[in-house]
Amino acid sequence: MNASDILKLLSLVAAAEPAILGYIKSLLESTQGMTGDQFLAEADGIWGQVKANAQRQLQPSPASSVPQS
Amino acid sequence: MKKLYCVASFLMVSLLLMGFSCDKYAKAGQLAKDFAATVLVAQQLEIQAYQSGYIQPASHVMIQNKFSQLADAGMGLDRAINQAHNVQGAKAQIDVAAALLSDLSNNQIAGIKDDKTRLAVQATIVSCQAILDNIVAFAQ
Repeated sequence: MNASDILKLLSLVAAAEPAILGYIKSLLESTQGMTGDQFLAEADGIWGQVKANAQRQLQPSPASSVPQS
Repeated sequence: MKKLYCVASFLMVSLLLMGFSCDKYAKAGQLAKDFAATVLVAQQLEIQAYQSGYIQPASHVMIQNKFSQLADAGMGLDRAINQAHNVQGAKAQIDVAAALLSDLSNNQIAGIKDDKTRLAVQATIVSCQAILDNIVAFAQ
C-alpha cells in the first residue's frame, strides 16, 4: 500500500470529519519526498515551539511579578 | 469526545507515516519529527487542561518544566542524528527523553482531575514513548 492508496482509504474513513481529513492529507502530502535534513529542520522548529510554549507558561503572571515593597 | 478522536487520528497518522520513508537518514529524521510533533500535541493538551482549571498551578509548572527539558533533549537528539556517527550522543538524549516521559506519565499527569483530559494527555505521552522506542529500534 503506497501513500496514494492510504490517502484514498483515509478519504473514505474520514468522510464525516472534513477538518481532520484536511489535516491528515496535508500531513501526508507535506512529508512525501522530504530529505533527512528537512525532517530534522522541521523537528527543530517544533522543539523551538515546545520550548517557547513552556517558557511562556513558566513566566510569572503580571500580578506575581510585581516587586513587593 | 471530539478531542479524543482528534488525538487518536493524529496518533494513527503518525504511526502510518513511520513506514513511508525508505532512506535510513530520512526515516530517522521523520521519526524525530514525529516525536517532536507528538510532544507538542501533549503539551498543548496540558495547557488547555490547565486553562480549563483541571490542573493545579504547581503541577502545571512542574509539567511545563519537563516539556522544556524534553525540548532540550529533542534538539540534542536531532543534532546527534544529523551527525550520523554520534550514536552515543543520540543514546544519551534518548535516555533523558525516556526518563522525562516516564516521569510525566507516572507522576505528573496523574494529577489531572478530568478523566477524559488525563486519558488524552496520557495517550499522547504513550505515543511519544512508542515513537522513541522506534527510534531506538531503528538505530540498532
